Amino acid sequence: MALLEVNQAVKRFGGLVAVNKVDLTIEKGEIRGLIGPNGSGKSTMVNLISGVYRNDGGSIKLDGREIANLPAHTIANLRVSRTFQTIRLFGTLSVQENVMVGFYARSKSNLADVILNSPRLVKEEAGLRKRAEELLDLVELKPFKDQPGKSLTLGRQRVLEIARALAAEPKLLILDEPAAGMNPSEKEWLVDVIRRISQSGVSILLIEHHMPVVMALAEHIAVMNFGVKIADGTPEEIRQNDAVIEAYLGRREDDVAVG
Amino acid sequence: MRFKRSYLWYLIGLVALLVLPQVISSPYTMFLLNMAVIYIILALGLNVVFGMTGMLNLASLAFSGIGAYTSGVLAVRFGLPFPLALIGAVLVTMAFGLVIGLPTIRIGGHYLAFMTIAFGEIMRLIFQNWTPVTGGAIGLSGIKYATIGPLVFKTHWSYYYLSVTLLLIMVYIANRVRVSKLGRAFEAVRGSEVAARALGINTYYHKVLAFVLGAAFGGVAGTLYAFLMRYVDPGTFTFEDSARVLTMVMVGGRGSIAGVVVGAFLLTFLPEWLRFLKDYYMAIYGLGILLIVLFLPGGVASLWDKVRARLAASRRSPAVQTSAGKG
Repeated sequence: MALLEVNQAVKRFGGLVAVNKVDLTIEKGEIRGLIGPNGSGKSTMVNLISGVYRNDGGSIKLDGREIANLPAHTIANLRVSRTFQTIRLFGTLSVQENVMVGFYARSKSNLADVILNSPRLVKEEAGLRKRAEELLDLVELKPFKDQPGKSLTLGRQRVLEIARALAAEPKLLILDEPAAGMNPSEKEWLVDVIRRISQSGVSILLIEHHMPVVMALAEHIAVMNFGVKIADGTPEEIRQNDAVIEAYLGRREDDVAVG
Repeated sequence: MRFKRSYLWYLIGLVALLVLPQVISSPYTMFLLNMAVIYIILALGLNVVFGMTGMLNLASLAFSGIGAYTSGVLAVRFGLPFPLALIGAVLVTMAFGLVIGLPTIRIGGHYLAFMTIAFGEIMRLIFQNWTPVTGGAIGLSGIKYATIGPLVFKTHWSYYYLSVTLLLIMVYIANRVRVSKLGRAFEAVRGSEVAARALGINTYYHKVLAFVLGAAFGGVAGTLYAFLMRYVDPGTFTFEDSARVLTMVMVGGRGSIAGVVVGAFLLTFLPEWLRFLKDYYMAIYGLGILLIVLFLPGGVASLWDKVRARLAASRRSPAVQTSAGKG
């Protein structure tokens, strides 16, 4: 059984159909690419899956369980984590604390533990700090752990969001345009980080604008345009698909150069 | 080493707090000191709601009013001693926080601020007109001296030790919340609700929880006020004073416990220190607040952070900067 099965998902904003009967399947352990020009409905798809938007039709199944229209925090607790296209770090918290927020749902201690600073909480907290450092080490952000999250460079902020999402121990990690605003060396670093995460067994849905990143990582790529899925296949197939070339790859010089 | 040093600071602070009344001879200054403690507790409560969680509550004084009247009524009409009146007041204010919080927080945003203003005004009218219980416009009098077992807190000096003890407990609780996963969840809600939800945090639950916790601080502050004055006057719990508590949090530094303590203390005593300015006082006061908000948006607390960051930067070796990450 596939990890995630989106069947005929629909999202309307007034008269605009942002997502129009889109199917999307993510197998366990794979890196799934989702690409498309600006405004093609990629981020709307992410918001449907993660519960930010309500689904206007179709079904979204995680491990066979219907998750469409569940509250976002419930879906997150079913181990679907995500990052955001527009960075949403917790500005008042340090880099390490940002990651530690990600552990919240997994934490067992209650309000009484918090007020009384019980041994259970002290132990848990120490464990979480260590785990946060390990995660930061994985994404090479450990040297910055005590700085405010907002003080990092844009590229590092994006990677910090990934580390924070990983803290929630996701089965499915959704990355919404993680390479946006990154310079070439940061993009290389990002590809490296995503590969490492994938090797640890997490399934990944990668939404990207930047072609080399998707082509380098994804085993299967779905292409959206104007809210519908126009192609789905291996990177090689996508590269040669006429509809894709017309809708997307042929549009901008830098994208053509890649394909 | 580091632990020991911080304990030393706590010890020095504690001794200073205990010795402070011994060097003060004026009852009025002692009274102000007690008032400062009450305002600090109120500001700490608002700091949980507004400072950490980002909800603008403009009814701090309404909650302290509920606390003051509840403990006053429990003491005068039911003859309960201070500790029981305190517990009753805290429970009742928390219940009010829950009942007001559940619907208004769902609305959220600026509407929450408006709703709290309305709530504050409604409470003021209730205090003023529910004569059989609150004593109406005349106020609630006949509150006896606070007692805990054999201890009687008659003077402003002895009362100070009672209020400071409660203050220390409230600072401890506020700090526990701040440094724990709960505080991180509150700060996450303030930073980005969408992102907090995406990490499995039920934001509605946490906002209501913050609101109820904040109300509890109001209950403690109100009880301390009722037993300090031994009389509760409905004219005390105004919107203007709620705004003043907000200013204390802003001047001190949102989210910072130490900052809020300093902010509330300063703003309680500032009117006294600036008394020589007479009519110009409000202008100078306003200008001061304006300058702080403009040039020190993180409040007094950020001043300390800035100094520390500067020290750390000069100490940090440049090697760390270049070797980290690939960006």
